[in-house]
Amino acid sequence: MNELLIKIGEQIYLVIISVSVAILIGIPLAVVITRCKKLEKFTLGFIGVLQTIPSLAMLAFFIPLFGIGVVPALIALSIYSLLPIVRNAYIGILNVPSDMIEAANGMGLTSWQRLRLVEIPLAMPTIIAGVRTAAILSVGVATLAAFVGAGGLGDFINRGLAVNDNHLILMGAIPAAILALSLDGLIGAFEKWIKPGASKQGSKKNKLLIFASSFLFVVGLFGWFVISEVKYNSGKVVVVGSKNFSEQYLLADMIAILIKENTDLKVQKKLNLGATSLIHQALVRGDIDLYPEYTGTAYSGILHAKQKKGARQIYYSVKKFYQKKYDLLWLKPLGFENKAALAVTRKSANQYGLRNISDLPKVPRLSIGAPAEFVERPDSYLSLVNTYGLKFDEINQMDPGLAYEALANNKVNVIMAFSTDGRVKKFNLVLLDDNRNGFPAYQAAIVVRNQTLKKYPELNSELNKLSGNISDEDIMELNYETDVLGRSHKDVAREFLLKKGLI
Amino acid sequence: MIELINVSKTYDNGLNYSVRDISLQLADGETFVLIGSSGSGKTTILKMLNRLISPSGGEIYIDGKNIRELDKVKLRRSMGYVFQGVGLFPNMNISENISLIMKLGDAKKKLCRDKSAELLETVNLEPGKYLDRFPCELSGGEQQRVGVARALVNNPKYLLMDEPFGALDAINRDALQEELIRLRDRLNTTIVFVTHDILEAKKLGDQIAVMHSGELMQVGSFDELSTCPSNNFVKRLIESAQQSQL
Repeated sequence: MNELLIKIGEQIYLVIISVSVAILIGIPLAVVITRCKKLEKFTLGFIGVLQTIPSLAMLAFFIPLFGIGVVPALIALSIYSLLPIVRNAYIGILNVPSDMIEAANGMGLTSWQRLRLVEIPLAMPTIIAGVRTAAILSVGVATLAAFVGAGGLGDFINRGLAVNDNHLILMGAIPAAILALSLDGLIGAFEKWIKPGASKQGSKKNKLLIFASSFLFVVGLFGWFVISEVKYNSGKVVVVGSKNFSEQYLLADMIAILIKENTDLKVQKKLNLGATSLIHQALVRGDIDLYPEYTGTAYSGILHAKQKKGARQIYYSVKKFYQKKYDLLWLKPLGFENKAALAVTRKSANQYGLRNISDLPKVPRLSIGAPAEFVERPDSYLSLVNTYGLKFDEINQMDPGLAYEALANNKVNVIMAFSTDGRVKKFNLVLLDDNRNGFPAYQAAIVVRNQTLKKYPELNSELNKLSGNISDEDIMELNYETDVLGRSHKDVAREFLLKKGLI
Repeated sequence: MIELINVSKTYDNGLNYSVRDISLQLADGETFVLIGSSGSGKTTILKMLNRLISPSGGEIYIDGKNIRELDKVKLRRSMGYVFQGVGLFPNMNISENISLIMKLGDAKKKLCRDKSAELLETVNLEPGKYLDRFPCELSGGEQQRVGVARALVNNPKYLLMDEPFGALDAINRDALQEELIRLRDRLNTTIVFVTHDILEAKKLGDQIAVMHSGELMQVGSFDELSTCPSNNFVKRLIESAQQSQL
């Protein structure tokens, strides 16, 4: 419950700050384009185009520029909020009756006085309607902020998808919906309340008071954000990252607990950093200090290497490349391999006699569910095509969590799974044998910034304690505990560390 | 004194005239009526006086000063301006509407309110009842009275009125015309009054300028116009007044 409140708080924070920024930029911009009509088409068109960029794509664009966390999320959200605010303010000001403008001019109001005393007040209902649209919109988009580590209710949704837990998804989605509705109601009430002539002279002071206090509230929120960021960045803090699936949360929790228990360093977790390129950027920039990665993923995704090699050789080429190019260190492998694998239901395995990947062409209509990366990465799709001569009739890009459901519901007949996944056991799936080594080795290991190790030498021995200590069986069991039995990652991680005598 | 010398206003890059080569002299204290049908250029002339429209040619002098050289805002604040649309601001109450210009000139709140009350009395509205009301709570006639009060807030020497009573019913129009006459006599304001109603022109105007298609047909008192109309247009206009009065 406590966590829910924090996430709701983060969500509200994201929405309020981004909409406030959009108001501060949007309304002056609208005023400018009402005064200079030549700019109108261009400006509205440009903002409209920005709006059409898919939110995830926009967030991804910002990672190299602004890193991960709240900043890129706020920038993206502000951009999304801009269009309804600018458009409504523009229309509102333009629709101020010409009588009012003539009266204001005829009386000798300056252009600025006319704007401040006549045009803005009369356009206010339209402007607020725009703010209302923007706020509701950004509650929705803000759930995606979790993707870049900005927190918010999207964390639940992301996690729910990762561990295939509908309750978690709803725990993010329902408060987000309630939040959107309450904001809608709140701004609607505000709109009625400031309506011209709705209240008399006496309450003017009250109005001013409310305006001032809400302004202070926003400033306060912003200040709180800056202070907490600075605090985090100034202390002895190690930032542990993870990708957006269950095993990664588990490893991140293990690392975090290990550091917290055995050193006096503070730990901040930035989980849910989706795609490899994203979390890699974050590590290179120093937004995070370390995260667990898989050799095969780095080999193809970062090194863009295609040559087939054995597990050891892949580890060493990745290690060498990272050291030289990024000043990042690959620690010794943790001990298990999370290989990509193709999984089918037991029923179709029996029906078509499937044991190896090379048996797959026996299936009449091959439809695969796989993460977006599958198609992009040469070690996945292309490798399968080249090694096994496979042809898929349909490729469905989906989140790893959804793929299992899709397979169980016969929406697809093969999925890309991971060899350590507890859900393979849960759904009683058959992992097809990679009999021709179509997938490269995927040894798990911690990647860490050399700078961080230099700064906190005590980290070195702690992190190395995990090396070689987690076997294939261990990880499959741990994944089963969390994903299928629904236990918390923290508990499972702590239990494991205790069992191994590491804390 | 207001003086217009060969004033023209063209549009479509000088191809067409909305007013052409107008020269006029308006003496202090008189009510000067510009009459004509729509499109005759009467409103254009009025709006050039407070620089809402700038002339394409010719010069306008007010009290000997070329208005091109005067600050627009100061010029407008020194003249009252009333128009058919009234244009009271719905987000301000009556007192705030009337005293807006004073307030912008940093007058104290109390002073603004007192002046508003005084002006409401001038236009025959009971201050206690109206000061705190909002425009939407007033009838059309009441609104236009407030519009006149607002125009008088800076004790202007000149009052520009653009068909101010055009949208009112006959009873209210008559009443407001009577009040305007009393007001003028009391405050000694110079009024430039635009109308298309020859009866209104006759009732209010010391001088009447007849406009047609952007050109000035004739200037004179109603009697002068009726005794020797300069052309058929003026003659017909005067006749229409005499007929409707029968």
